[in-house]
Amino acid sequence: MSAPKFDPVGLEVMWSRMINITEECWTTIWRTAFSTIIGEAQDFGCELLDAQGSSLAHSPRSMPVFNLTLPRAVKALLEVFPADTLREGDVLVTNDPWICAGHLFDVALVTPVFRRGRLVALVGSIAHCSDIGGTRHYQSVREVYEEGLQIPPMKLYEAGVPNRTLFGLIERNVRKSEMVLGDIHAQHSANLVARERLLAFLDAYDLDDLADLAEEVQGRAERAMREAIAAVPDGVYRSSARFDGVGDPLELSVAIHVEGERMRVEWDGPPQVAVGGINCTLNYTAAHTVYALKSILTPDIPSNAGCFRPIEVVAPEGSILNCAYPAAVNLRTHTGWYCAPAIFAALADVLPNAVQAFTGLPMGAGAYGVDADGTVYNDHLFQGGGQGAGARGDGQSALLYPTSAGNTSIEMFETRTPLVVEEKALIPDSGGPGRYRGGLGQRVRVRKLRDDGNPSLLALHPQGMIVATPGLAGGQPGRRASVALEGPDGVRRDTELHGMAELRTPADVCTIEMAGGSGFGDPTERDADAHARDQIEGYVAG
Amino acid sequence: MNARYHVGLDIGGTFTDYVLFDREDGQLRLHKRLTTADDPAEGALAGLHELLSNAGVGLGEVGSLLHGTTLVTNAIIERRGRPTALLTTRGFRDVLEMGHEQRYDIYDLFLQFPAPVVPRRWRLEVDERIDRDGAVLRPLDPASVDPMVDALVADGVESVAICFLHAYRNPDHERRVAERIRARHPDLYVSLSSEVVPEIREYARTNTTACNAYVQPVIDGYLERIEEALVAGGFGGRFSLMLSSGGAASPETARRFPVRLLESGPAGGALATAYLGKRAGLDDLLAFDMGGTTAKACLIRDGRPDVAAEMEAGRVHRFKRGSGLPIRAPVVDMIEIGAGGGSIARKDALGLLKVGPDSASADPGPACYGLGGTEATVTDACLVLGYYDPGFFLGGAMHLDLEASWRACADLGATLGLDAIETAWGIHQVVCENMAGAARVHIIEKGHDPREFPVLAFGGAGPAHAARVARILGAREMLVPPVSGVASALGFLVAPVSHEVVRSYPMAFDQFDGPVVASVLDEMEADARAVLASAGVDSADVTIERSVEARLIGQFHEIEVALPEGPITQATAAVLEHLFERAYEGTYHTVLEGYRPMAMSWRVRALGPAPEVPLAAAPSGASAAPKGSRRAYFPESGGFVDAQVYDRARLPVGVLLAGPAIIEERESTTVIAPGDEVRVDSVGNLRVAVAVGHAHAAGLGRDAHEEVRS
Repeated sequence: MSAPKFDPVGLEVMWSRMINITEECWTTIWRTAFSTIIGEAQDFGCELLDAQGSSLAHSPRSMPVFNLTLPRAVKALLEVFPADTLREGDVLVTNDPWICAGHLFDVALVTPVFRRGRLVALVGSIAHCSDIGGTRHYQSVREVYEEGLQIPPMKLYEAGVPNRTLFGLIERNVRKSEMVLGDIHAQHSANLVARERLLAFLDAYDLDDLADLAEEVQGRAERAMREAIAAVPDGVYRSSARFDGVGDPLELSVAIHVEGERMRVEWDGPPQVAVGGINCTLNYTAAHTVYALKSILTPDIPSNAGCFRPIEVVAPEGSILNCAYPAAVNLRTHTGWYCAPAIFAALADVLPNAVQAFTGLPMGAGAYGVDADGTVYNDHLFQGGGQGAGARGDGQSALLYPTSAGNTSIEMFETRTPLVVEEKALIPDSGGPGRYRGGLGQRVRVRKLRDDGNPSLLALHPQGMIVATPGLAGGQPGRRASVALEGPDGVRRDTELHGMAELRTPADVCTIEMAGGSGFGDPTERDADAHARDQIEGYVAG
Repeated sequence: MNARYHVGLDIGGTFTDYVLFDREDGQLRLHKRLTTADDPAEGALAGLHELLSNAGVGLGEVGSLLHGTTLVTNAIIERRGRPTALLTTRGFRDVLEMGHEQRYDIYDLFLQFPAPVVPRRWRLEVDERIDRDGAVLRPLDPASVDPMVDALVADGVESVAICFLHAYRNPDHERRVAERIRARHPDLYVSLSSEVVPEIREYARTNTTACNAYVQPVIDGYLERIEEALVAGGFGGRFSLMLSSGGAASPETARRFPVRLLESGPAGGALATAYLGKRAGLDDLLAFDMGGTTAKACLIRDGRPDVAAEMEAGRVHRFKRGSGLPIRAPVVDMIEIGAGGGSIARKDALGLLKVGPDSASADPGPACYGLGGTEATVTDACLVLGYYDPGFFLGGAMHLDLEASWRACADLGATLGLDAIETAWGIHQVVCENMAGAARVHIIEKGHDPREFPVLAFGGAGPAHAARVARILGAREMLVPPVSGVASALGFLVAPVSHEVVRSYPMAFDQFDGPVVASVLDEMEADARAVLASAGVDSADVTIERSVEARLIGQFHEIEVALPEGPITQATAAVLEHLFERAYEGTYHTVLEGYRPMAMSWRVRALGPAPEVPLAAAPSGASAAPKGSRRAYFPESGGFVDAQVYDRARLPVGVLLAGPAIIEERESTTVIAPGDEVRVDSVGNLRVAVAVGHAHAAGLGRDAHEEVRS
């Protein structure tokens, strides 16, 4: 047996260093981005990968699904551009939903890192750009062609030289292109920062490459996950989750097969939908599956490829969770964000202390138009729903999940758009009753600042408007989400709006209500003091 | 500062430190006593009395008293503020509770958030609205707040925060509501967001204002007691409070803006480092303070600590960013690491050796305290490695149980496949790496090279770890100053009176309006000067520093650029643009072509003169002879070797010693590794020339193993 290459001390030190590198990368994107969705709401992630494209470390603040889809994207990029064809200064790019993060908005930038002429690692990020062209009426879409510019695996830079053709195409195909290109530049800069730091790290430890280190950190993470799975009794755990669909509710079902140290997650669901863009690519489905499982099984282990090796995820081809090209996918969260609730429900009996009831899903309302001075704006107003309760306590009111994003500052949003937010408030009684109460949802009302003759288009896609997801262990559902546009001509609500509110004058008021979280446990068992406190503070009425 | 005696007083969580500086002989007298948490004023005054009577000095002879305290921090952490209400714009009372709505740990489903300092029932909405340009969208009727405030007062509320949307652009509504409240309820404390922190982003501004209001009654009552006692004792000098920014403020300013006192202790440490560095001829340093539960590192450049605009208070997870309450107030820019003498070492779920952030604190303390602790800590490792003398901890005031440390290390090692010594060495390495790693990120984020900053160590555990931290960072020098035990209190003495004013006033550089900027800055300067004047600073002695926070148009985050000196004119625009580009490229590689920079906020900082504290050199000792020797572990020498042990007080100026060596004093122990050399400089600093670091020493396992075994 060969001597161990790393002891528990040296490894801990180097592992932390790799996480630090991704953290610096994250900070660079955040601080230099131009869009609300990246610079304010932080809808992006950064990762360090080994030469095969397997994850080594990611920033603790990275968007969960991006951490899990980027390795798949990098592997796909390496198939098109094999390692031995890459050169110093190359930057690879793609937004292909089937190999990247599931819709065209999410653009991956991947920079190979060379040491002594050899590819030793890749650094990359995925960020949700503010626009990717195509229609803004996402719910009417039939095929991905209508959803915007598709960027297959390409080189954005070749040996340090920008690909002017591609930059030109992007510029002409997206709204407010200076914002999109500025964000892409932020991603590029961050990769350069990570590359420099990584090379300095290899120098400091006199490592030729990361192969041994990768094997070690991935191996340890894998063992931790195997042990956690082994602690779950063998068996098949089943559940299902209903969701809004495109006006008519649909249902997903899951069977989690636990066999010793391995887990096989079998999804089933309806066929991919023809209209509405709520289809998930398998990449995306798998990412939400393993994200939920890691949160339950090994929340404290730094994440890397090893965590996910013992887990297999399958879904029927052509189904809504494994759709085929050229299905429309823009609103994939409408389906994919129900994977975690289904998994939690499936494991609620066997792991009651590790799961959480349904969390009211968040939304970024995209505001687009022209300001009175002729400036085009395209900014996202993010807000969360109520967190689901768990065996450890009530849910937090207003929280963005299952993302790592934050909300948008109202003052910042108003400064960048000719809109006024009239209200941003918790909705009393919106948390699902239970022994532990779900967190409260929130209401946001938006209108135009003044009648400047230019309409504002608000893209609105809340989830949970039709289906109220039950709580766990006897907990009740929270209040459902809704949207409404009230104007001189009357009120239009929810699905009548088809995801778009046009604000023409200050008399048009758009109301967004995010769902409350579901409860956990029998409501009659709720602590009387907790209930009294809720009444005093106005979290529940009467 | 012309009087003979000056006092610095630092109330920390465990100890209260005092220094008395005697201008005539340049000597410092030190005093330490336990903090009285229940009645901090009483303890502070009792200790002051002890310090002065020990020295035979009357309170009337003291020219200045500089005071720092954890009172504000603890009031927020322990929720000991007074009942506080928030008045805000209609529709927005829950902003304070929602925060950023962001999960700070993506895999933790059950993460906790700090509760807001104002409960929902006391967050009330006022019918008014100001738009993004500062124009009134919905007018205010000040009388409308009367019934609300009457009810709040009846409910027992003592302090009110007022935070309206866009008040940083137009403070009129906030001011009129405040006037109304003050006229009707003169006893209520009132904090305005447009005064506390007139900056965009409603959550951080609201929270900062609410926290300010929450601690205002506490600090006011405290200061009143101290001031009364000082006056009664015949004190006629200047009484100032230490700010988080490293400046000193009058009690009046401290009462208005108590959130600015949050980090006063660490700010004192940073100032002391700057001062002691200058004395050693060094302007650029890394302050390294390692105590029982945490270590702090702070960069000193050009003889001054950097100041940041925001911090977090009352974190639910002390070392998780995002788990606390954001406070926007100038603060000495430092990083805090969960690494101290009491940090516990454990095997984690991955089979790795982790040190901290959990701490055995003082009770039960490390295993060697013999108070019931069984887990191995950083202090236990130092004992096993022979760095500490079990019979000379705190100068012998406390006896340590070496056997217990061995047992704790051996027990932990058994789970990792290491023996007790390997485990102790592992703990030492990991804790040094953790600290160096965090310090490195901090330095690099500021665009500097960690190798270029000598490390100045203080705190009880600092000198034992600093040389290795310096080695990992690649720094070539480490210093231990002569008064390292009371650095913060010493730092207070050298703090200039200062006041900072910030104002959001966005303007593209290519639409730069010189006269407008000049008038905004003049107004801010007048405000800042007025505060200093009220603190008794002669206007001729005031220095003004101005800066702008700028970014590319469309971005969300700024970088700070110092404004050129002299009057602002139209020509300033080009200079600014150049300075901005240079700073931006330093941090983020390249400025994107075709993108235009703009100013967001303007800052003016007024500084009084830095007090001169001509500290006499520590008396030179008489003998370079060691007081003994003991076996200490240095992998560089192949394991345990005989290290000479010296009594610091006896070392003469100019003496040069080679590692391995151990230098003991009452408050701390300095460890000199083989290859390093230490010299006592003319003012009594221990100056360690650190051998060039190499990564193997920093912990690549294979080699560490071989070293252990050889």
